[in-house]
Amino acid sequence: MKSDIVRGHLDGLILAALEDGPLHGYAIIESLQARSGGVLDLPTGSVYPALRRLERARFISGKWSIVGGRRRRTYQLTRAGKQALASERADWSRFTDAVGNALGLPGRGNAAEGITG
Amino acid sequence: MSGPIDTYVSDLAKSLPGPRQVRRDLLAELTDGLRDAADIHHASGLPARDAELLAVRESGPIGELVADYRTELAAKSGQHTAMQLMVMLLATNVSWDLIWFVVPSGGAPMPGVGVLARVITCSTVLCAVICGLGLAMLRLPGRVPGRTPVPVRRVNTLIVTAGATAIAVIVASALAMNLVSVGDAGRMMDDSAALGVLTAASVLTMFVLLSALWRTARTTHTLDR
Repeated sequence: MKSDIVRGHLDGLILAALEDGPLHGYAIIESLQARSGGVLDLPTGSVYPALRRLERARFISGKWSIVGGRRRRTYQLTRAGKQALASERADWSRFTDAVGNALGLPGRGNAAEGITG
Repeated sequence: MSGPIDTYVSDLAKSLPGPRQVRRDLLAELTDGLRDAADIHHASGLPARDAELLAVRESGPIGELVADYRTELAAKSGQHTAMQLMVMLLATNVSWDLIWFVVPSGGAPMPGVGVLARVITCSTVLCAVICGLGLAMLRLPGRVPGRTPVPVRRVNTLIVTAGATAIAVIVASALAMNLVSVGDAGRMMDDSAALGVLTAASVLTMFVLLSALWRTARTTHTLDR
């Protein structure tokens, strides 16, 4: 998948990766790749400033610690981050339902009303 | 001789102005991640140098990453400067208010001094309010439904403008106060060492704040419009 498309959803993807527990930067990248079956193509260097942006927004909290003998910055989801993730999921669901309807995909219900109204 | 990871991080660092500590912290994290990636590639059979090269390639071209790193550095710089302005200007103002209770003024103040003192207080409070708003905007979650985050460039410009204006007004008003009551000021300074210390501390505070404003302005200037 093109990296500029993935970038638009990077915040939500990172929050989802942290849902199961604290992770450091590279473990988050590995988790994103594993969750997407290797389909998400993203410059890994862009994840670190995104983590700081999410930390600035108080969606995640980060701290330095020693993991596996190496100094690493580990992040965990905050309560605001959990709410943001739920909101991101709801937005995404409405969006995909609406686009699915517009494309005539089966089993999409009438979710397009939700995104416009 | 430095490897591909060191060269890559060093090249990125050259494109990043901003608070030294934050930059070092951010680049240390990137370096750790790149070494993690290189270790995994090396463990899967690649020679060490090729593993580092692959990790660097996966990280992406520096030109594509630099805007994101600059934005975070500018945001941190803006937060730091806004906090400094709030705390230091308010503390200076309160200190001067308090010292007039301690140091005997020796009579009624000259006309105009009270007005200038109010100008200083109003400038300080207004600047603190704007900086508080700026801090809140910099911390505003990026994806609150119905709210578009204000770009870091715009918030930092607001903070720097408010800070520079407040300092200019405060310094000009303080100088004017001394000019309209030059005799009183000299005598009180001779009578009270505390007044001299507070004057020196206030001058130092203004220099610290001007330096912070300059740093934030310089960091913000690198951001895309």
